[in-house]
Amino acid sequence: MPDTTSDKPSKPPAITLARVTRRYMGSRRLFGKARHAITALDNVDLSVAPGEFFGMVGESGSGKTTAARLIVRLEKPDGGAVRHNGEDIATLRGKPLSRFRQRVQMIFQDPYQSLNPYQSVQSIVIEPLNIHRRGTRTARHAKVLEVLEQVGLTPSAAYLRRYPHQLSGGQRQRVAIARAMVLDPNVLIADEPTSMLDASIAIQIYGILSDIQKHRQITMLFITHSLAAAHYLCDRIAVLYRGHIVETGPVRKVIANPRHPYTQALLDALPRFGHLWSEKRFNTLRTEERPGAPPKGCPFYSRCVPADDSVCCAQRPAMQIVQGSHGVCCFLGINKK
Amino acid sequence: MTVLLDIKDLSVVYRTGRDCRLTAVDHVSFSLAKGQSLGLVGESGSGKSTIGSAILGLLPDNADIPNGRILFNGVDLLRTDPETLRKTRWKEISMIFQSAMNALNPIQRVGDQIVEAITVHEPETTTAMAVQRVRDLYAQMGIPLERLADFPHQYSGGMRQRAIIAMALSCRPKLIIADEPTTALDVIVQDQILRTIAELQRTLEISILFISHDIAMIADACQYVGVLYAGQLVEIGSRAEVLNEPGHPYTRALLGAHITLSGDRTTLAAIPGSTPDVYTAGTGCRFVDRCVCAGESCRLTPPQWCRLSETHWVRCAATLETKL
Repeated sequence: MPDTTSDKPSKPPAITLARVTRRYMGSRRLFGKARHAITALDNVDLSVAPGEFFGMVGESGSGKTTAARLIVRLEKPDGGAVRHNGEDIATLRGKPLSRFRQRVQMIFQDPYQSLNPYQSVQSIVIEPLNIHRRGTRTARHAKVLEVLEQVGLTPSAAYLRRYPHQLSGGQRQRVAIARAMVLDPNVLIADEPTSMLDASIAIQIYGILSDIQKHRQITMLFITHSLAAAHYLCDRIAVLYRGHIVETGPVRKVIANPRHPYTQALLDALPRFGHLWSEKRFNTLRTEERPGAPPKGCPFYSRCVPADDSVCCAQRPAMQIVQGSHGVCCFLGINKK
Repeated sequence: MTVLLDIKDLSVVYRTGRDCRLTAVDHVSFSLAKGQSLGLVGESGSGKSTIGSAILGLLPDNADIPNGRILFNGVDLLRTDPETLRKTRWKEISMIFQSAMNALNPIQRVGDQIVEAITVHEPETTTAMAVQRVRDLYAQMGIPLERLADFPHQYSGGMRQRAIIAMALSCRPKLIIADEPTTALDVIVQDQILRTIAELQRTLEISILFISHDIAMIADACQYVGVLYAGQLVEIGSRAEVLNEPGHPYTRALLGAHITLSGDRTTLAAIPGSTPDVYTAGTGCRFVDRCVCAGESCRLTPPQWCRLSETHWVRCAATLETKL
């Protein structure tokens, strides 16, 4: 696998997040005070090169889904800018916006909720073509058959008249992928596409995503909570913790040599085939949070075992380069051997 | 070693329409000793959850059990009166459900729900004693005691699942059925929950029947592993036997289709095809269409059980041939 981290300077990154912040205002309680706002993403910088398979890894609440929603412009950032091919997507209107919407597509987590139960497979997959008035009727029909074949629903003609309830979870997710691919996007975002599926079906979906990315040279943004899945699919990853990128770099380097205690905790938590008790663990994650985390310090401080009170409480660590494009946001990790 | 749960030749048939019958569980037998853990692995539609519901007597109305016995401590649960069954349930056998949000009452405080579970099943226990037991359980689960007064929606996913485990433990059962206890949870929380359950099993000597689609999870958490395919048990053995010398091609495929960090990215192979339609299953082996070692005879004759060791059994004609 070639290292795609050194993007060519001639092409702008496919996706850039520049100091992006997104806050969700707390709803007012029925009685009493308003709730605190929640910062889902806090000054996040990220860039994904064209044709790269990029993974965003983190627990629920880490902001990875928020990032995806910002990138497809389902939401707008409260601060900073999201760029697609160098262009700020917040300013798009009219025709350019329509073009952007065709180029950036998303696959949602739950195929049981993302497909309309009253629409047939044909109607689900052809809808984007109708909305964007692509080609003639026969061309649209042929295109639908073609993408269904690509996602492994063969013979595709047999699936056209089926409804979501007649499909298994894996087949539904394939329909969702077909719907995203029918417009030939150049960026595809997959938000935990296999979390609702059996492990054996998940592998099939990974295979499809991997094939699509290879053959069409599109930029893939893959969101997951499993470092193993990221390792299998991605070229480069970013590990998110509560709205902050804590570590980023080529997936193999990050996994072989994790510098952030949170990355280490994610690795520790992976199933290891019967060695739950035997294998060495690093235990870098506190099960109970440290009370009274300092607002100025490291965002991971409250759950960090190796934290050094004198440094980690006082200031927020910045992203520092370990080697090449492998960077970490940790005072201790940067010097770790 | 005393056998706690002994399932013999169990079949479950769903009536899905007029003259339409679906055999979800097909002549399944296995046993679970006291204080041990067994994991049932299978894809969706393999009948794994149906087995769990059958043990608890929670099958829907359209399910029939044409044959089989479920012996719990020597008593056949299928032939006991409903009142005894109701007393056995939760007091002797409890369950950790798949979706923790739906298993809790949204408009009752979590602590009260667990207290109620105790007082309903143990009329002799006073509320004060029950409250004390719930506090102990919360401490054991690592949930702060002040959360007892919270409602389910105020809990995080992992904490909710811990509360469910506390509830399952509340009447000190002998057997816990854990049906996909960590699906929909993050890796870190999943890991913590599995360690908690494994710890409990060791310290309290509870038997645990795990049900999951994820062979890696089962391999981490269980001493024995059973593999289900299309309603039939195809392989059963100790963890080391099933993981290191899998006898059935389906088990090998399941293991091969799991991502590990050590393996090369190219070695991973998806299992071709999908689970067969149980309506149209023929007489032969049900895995035949997806099997890499199937011969012509596999299609016609049902595979026989083949003993690989004292505890390791495989139901595959191809494996049987190589062993003879």
